[in-house]
Amino acid sequence: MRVSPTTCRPALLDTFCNLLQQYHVAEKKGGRIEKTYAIAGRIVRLRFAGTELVTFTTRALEHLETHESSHPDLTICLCDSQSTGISMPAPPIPPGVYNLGGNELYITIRSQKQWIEGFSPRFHLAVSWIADQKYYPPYAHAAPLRTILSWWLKQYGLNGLHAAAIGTKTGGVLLGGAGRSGKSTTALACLNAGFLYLGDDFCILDFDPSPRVYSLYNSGKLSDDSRTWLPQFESNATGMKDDGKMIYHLCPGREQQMVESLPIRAVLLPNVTKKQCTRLKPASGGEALNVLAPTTLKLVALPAGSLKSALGAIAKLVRQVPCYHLELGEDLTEIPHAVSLALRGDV
Amino acid sequence: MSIKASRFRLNTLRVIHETVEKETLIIDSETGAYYMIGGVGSEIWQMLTYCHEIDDLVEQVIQWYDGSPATIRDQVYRFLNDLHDEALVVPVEENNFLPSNEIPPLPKTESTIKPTFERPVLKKFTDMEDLLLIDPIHEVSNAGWPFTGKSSDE
Repeated sequence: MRVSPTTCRPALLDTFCNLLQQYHVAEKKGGRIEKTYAIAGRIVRLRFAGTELVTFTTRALEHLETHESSHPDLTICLCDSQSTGISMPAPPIPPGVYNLGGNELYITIRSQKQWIEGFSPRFHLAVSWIADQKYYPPYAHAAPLRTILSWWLKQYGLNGLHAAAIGTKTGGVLLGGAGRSGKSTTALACLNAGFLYLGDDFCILDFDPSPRVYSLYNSGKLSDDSRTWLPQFESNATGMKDDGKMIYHLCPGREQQMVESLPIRAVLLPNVTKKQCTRLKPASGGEALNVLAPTTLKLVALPAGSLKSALGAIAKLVRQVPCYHLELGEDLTEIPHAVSLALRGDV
Repeated sequence: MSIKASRFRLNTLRVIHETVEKETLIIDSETGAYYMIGGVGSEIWQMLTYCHEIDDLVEQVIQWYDGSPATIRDQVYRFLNDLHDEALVVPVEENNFLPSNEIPPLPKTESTIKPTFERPVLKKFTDMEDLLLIDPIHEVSNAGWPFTGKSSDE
């Protein structure tokens, strides 16, 4: 199939319209299920054609479910071909990520996964269609709808951030770092010690005007080594692994420790050491920028204009709050104390 | 080491950058490669924002840092060439830069003790580049996105 410059725009619009049309056919056949969530102070409604994707998609968002009936700020229609028996409309464009007119329409086509997602900011409407639930990549178990929600958040000047977030009633810390730096283990060790929890891998950054973090997913991930240290979470294990780490859904079970948002008091950059003790060392804002930004920008496909504002938001964050290296020792029981010191600014 | 252009400017059509406390992170939005510069390199990057004359910029670094002027000059030129080779900066054509009265003066050093000059290094990372190649982002204008290849689904 050849796509010419003059047909690409209509092709993208057609792709989105066809997805919506077919979604309505599937919904008519499979029945409609709706779930509503409060995400970063906004209302997001998930609308499912049939029951197949409901559990998969909603477990990680369960702590944010609301019975708010007001008009949603975003509606996401979800459908799979396998359970509904309705075929996915074939996109007339090649696989890739498309951003039409700067902000008119976003489309992601992943042919290997037989998975298409589209988002129209103007109509506050998104569609996610997969041929079969089994094609979802492992990360989607921990972070469903991450791409659509990241695009949507940008409309409000909010940014998805590759970081864990934990805290107490007075404030939270962000834990930034690449995979296997220790941020998930730190987050879950602190959750186990009674801290409040906002996420272990992907949170929402806002400024009101001071930095604030919002929770998005109640999931967590642990390597096999960390699982032996933190067996308390085994009843929450999903049985699914991402990058070799077990995925946990922490609700039901830990609802009391889930919190929607907290002001950010510090950024911590964990790294695993061979030392016995865990300790904090001051880090420069530049070091924190260099850790937080690349891992965040790798996680979500953003168009160039959004890349600039996402990078700017992270720079603004690390200029405003103290940053520390969190050198993780072999004794994991010391971690919550070190995080408490950072929260109090007692370093 | 010499350099052909008299002035460089940041390649703002494709470069996104932020500097915090003498650490600069630069992203090439076209390739997905990203770069980190610290210390004196970060200061040079900030001076390039205003298209200062390269010779003035080099002299400024010599004023700021303790070290052999010849070595500093050579290392700064090498660094500028690295930036140019990566298309992070582009030469400014004559008569196409800000009038001299609109270019802010180069900052003065506030300390009487000069820090030791350390060679500015451009660190390049391509792990994001690979992801962009898997999941390319096509910016589609109203005129359309000029795709002419064959679909892998064909």
